[in-house]
Amino acid sequence: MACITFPNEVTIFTVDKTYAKCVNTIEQHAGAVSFDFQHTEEVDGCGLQLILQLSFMIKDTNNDVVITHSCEALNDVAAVFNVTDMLGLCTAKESTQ
Amino acid sequence: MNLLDTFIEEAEEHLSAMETSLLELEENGVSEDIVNTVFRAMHTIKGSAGMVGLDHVSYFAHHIESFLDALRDGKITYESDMVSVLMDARDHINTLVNNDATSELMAVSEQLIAKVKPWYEEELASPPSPLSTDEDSNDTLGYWQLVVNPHTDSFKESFDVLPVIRELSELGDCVVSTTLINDANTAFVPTQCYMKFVILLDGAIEQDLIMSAFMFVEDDWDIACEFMSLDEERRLGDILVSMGAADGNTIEAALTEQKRAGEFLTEKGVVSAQDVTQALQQQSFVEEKQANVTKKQANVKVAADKLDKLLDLVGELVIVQSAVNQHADTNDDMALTNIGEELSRLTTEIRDTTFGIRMLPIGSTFGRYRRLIRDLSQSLGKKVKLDTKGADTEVDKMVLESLNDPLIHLLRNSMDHGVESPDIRLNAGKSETGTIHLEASHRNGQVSIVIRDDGAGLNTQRIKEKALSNGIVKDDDMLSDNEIHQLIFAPGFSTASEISDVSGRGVGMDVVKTSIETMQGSINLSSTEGVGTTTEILLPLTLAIIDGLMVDVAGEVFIIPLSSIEECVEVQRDQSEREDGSHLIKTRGKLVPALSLKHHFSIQGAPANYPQCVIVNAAEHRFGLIVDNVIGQHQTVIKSLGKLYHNVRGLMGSTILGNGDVAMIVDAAQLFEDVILPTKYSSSMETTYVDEN
Repeated sequence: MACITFPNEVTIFTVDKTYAKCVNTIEQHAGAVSFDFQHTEEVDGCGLQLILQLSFMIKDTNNDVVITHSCEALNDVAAVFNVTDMLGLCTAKESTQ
Repeated sequence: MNLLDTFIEEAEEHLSAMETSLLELEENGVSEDIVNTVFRAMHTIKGSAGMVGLDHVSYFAHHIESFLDALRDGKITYESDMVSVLMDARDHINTLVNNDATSELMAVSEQLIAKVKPWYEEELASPPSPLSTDEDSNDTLGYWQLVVNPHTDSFKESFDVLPVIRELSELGDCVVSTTLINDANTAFVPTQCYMKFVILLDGAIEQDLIMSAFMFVEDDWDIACEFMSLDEERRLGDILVSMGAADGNTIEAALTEQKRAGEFLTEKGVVSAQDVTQALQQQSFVEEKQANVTKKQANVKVAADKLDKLLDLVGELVIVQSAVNQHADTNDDMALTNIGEELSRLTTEIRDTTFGIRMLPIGSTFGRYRRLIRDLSQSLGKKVKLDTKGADTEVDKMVLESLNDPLIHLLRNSMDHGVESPDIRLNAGKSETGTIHLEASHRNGQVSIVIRDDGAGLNTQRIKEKALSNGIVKDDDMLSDNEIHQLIFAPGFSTASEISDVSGRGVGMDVVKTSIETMQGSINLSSTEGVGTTTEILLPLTLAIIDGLMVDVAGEVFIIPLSSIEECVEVQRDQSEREDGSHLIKTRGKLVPALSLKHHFSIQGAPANYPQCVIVNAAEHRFGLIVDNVIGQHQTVIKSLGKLYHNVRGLMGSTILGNGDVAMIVDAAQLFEDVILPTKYSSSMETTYVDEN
């Protein structure tokens, strides 16, 4: 399983670079992909769009996306956009338990 | 009813709900539902108080609401002593709602605010405007649908969608659906915006407030804000189209295949399962709103006096129906008999429906009893739990109101004299916490309310000594333990060594008994020393119409309530009448005392050839009422005797018969108390209860 570790910041300022890196990883590895946000501290709307896009790209190839480590910033933004389930994230309440 | 009256009435309902929830909070610990209920109550009171100009209420409620909001959002952690402060705040609002803003009351407000303020760190928001609206009290029959298409270059132009969507979602009840609209043939550019949103918002939110979220982007973004009526069905296909996840033609194709739209579109790969999930969330949002509106519309508030008037009219209708039937019987008119039968059927239906409207679940009063037990537990230093059952048992509104004082008295007695203090209970091998059970049920067409405690029980010896010293009983009276226990219902009786705030003045149990009997009910008490006391109150379902037995006494008609009648027997010639009008009637191998109604009410007339005795049961005692003739069953509308006759004993009211005559309704319990009971304890009447076997 390929693993993508996201940077500290997934925002308008980093999405281009992150996208290129991620696409490269996805294309090189067939099969399921895991997303790791353990180092991520900031996610904005643009960052979330990127994460959704990557997730859809992988799912379109009939592969699964597994989020191994989420982060507070992602949980928060995903809740606002109501895409928590879509990304397979646990709810904020669950994550604190 | 003016706006202020409506506010006060609604505030009382909210405060009652709040009290129940706070007691649950104290008993079961914090839960999201309970905190939300308390918050909503406070939020509504705050908004409504502002609207009716009660700024002092709104001001105080605002601070308590802010505290509850912080608790709800998890910004502060629940602590058990918060309940007492919130309970005090609830009581204070009750006082504020019913009183003008005095400096004393405002000082109490500040004291309570000072108590809650340290619990939350965030600064209080500015106090509400008196004109602030409250979404809970705003009965909107719709919701807002926003379709938001941000401009492709929004991110590049530093207009992030996140703060906008966040602001909207914080305005109130809301569901957000997010879709990525990205043409597969076009390369994805991460810094461009492909997001589209469909947002459903509570209809009570002002449109200006919604649009203010788009203040900086409204010229560039494509925003459609539409108020949707809840009358319109929101189909899944329409939602998917509005989200941009599917087009109308594809939806049509799904429908022609007779498949569920979501299932079909997912199978065909037109939309993703996530899109369907989001669409279903939107559908649920609307359905929930529709259900709330239906719920609100299903209940109509009607002034109690209008219901009373309706009940009076139904009573009159019953009398007219009775007159029609009697006229038909007298004139042997078949056509009129048929009409009378149909009229009887309809009248019964109208009567039952009208009574049904007045019936309220007894559980609506349980909250205040829980509070009573809680407060008394604290003031008496006892640990007591109130266990309630049968909250759904329905009782006539008037019965329910009249029941409040007697129940409070009985519960206070259980708390003060019944349940022991924790150390005494532990020494007696009982659990530290005492339990008072309050159970309501329907039994034999009556309402039964049982109050049972696991306390010390009645002290039989002390009751007897007190009764002797008060002259209620004599030394040589042979009384069973149960009979001694019933003496606590005697006027002025109290064994309490000290008069406390709770009880002990001896002006209670006789008043309780009188109140219950005024409602044509009965009260029965049983107790075992060291085990506990059980009190059962039996009440009629309604106080307005009863089924009665019509009897004739020298040409005068009396009605005896059917619920108290056990049987009718013929009076034998050897069962002669005494000078005081009393008899001894042999029935089922036993002698029961009996009373002649003719003698008691001083009605002149020749003795009947075959007098009848109606055996009744009052307060678990059997006795007979001797009448000339039993006429038959009669549906009796109880009419008050008016102020002039209100002290006449032995009669609970009157009724109008089908022929227009007035008949008196006999109060068997009072007759027992006034005539039979005094003789029972005299030595000359002891033989009355000797079994002839």
